[in-house]
Amino acid sequence: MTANPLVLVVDDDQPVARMVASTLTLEGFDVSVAHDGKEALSSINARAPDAIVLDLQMPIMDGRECFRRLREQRINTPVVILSAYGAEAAQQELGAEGFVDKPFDPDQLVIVVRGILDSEQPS
Amino acid sequence: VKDEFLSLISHELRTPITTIYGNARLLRDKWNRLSDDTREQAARDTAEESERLHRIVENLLLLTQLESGQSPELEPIHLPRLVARWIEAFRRREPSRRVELYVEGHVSPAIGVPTYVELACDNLLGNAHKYSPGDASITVIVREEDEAAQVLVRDSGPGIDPAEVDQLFSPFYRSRRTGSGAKGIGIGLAVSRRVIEAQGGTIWARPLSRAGSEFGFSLMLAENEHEDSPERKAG
Repeated sequence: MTANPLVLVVDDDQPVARMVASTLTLEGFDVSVAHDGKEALSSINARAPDAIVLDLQMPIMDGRECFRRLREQRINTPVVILSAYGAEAAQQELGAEGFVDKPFDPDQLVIVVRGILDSEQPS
Repeated sequence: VKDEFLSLISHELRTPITTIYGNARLLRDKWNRLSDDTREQAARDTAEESERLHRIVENLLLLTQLESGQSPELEPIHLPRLVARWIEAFRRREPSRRVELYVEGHVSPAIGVPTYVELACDNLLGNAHKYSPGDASITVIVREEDEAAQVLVRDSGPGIDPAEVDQLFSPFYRSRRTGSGAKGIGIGLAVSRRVIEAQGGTIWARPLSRAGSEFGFSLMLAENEHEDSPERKAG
């Protein structure tokens, strides 16, 4: 039996993180949650996620720094940038695989996450 | 600077909207597939984030109103009662935080605008809550001193640098001690200063000798109100 894809949700705002986790869980994803970039990097060592939904503005380690460290460590898990300001610009600047502007329709987030997972599948 | 301001304000306003909108869509479109626990949490988060958004909007509106130079209408306020009522509301919102209220002796009625005082209390107590460790209590003191009624909010957070005190009350200022580790755009203290000064009062911040900080304000007593004080409400 194949395990559900694991999505790591990284957002310091707990209500937003809960809403995103509920949305993805309902659509059949396994979900883990971290509240800053540092916590995200630690959690990746436990089980590598198939995709990461990454907020930008966070304490301790923000989303940009977290993204750079992921790539420095050659962790190429696809990342969806989730932000209240400049998500698309940040995606292009960083070279992330997707972006979603806050606020968002939960279905739209699911479409973007599925899209980047599908594009990662070997053809 | 403009870009930083837009980023802060976008984050502050859009974050609660994200939760409210997202949960509303989940509850409306996927009600039957959600567990009871998830529905309850989504409804609770929606209510709390609506309150958060309301507070932010009220602060921004009041800041704009005060900038336009409108004079407030003042009336006598019984501060011990108003602060006690406000702390009860705060406890309902943040049940895990201990807040102790001490009323020192008799406190004569002050002169002010109840909604302004509530907003200042909301901001000062909210700040103390934000910067205090999870299990630390916050002390609120109401007293009469130097012919004024005072409200003091004492926390056990990271404290403040005395050199930073004036800047703490400037709009959109973020302390180096808390920096990006704290949520918010830095309008709470600025609004508090504007509303307190608009009532003829004073506001201050100082580090406490052991740890943490004191934020306080004082308002004139109704019996000492001067003719040159802000407009008094008739009747």
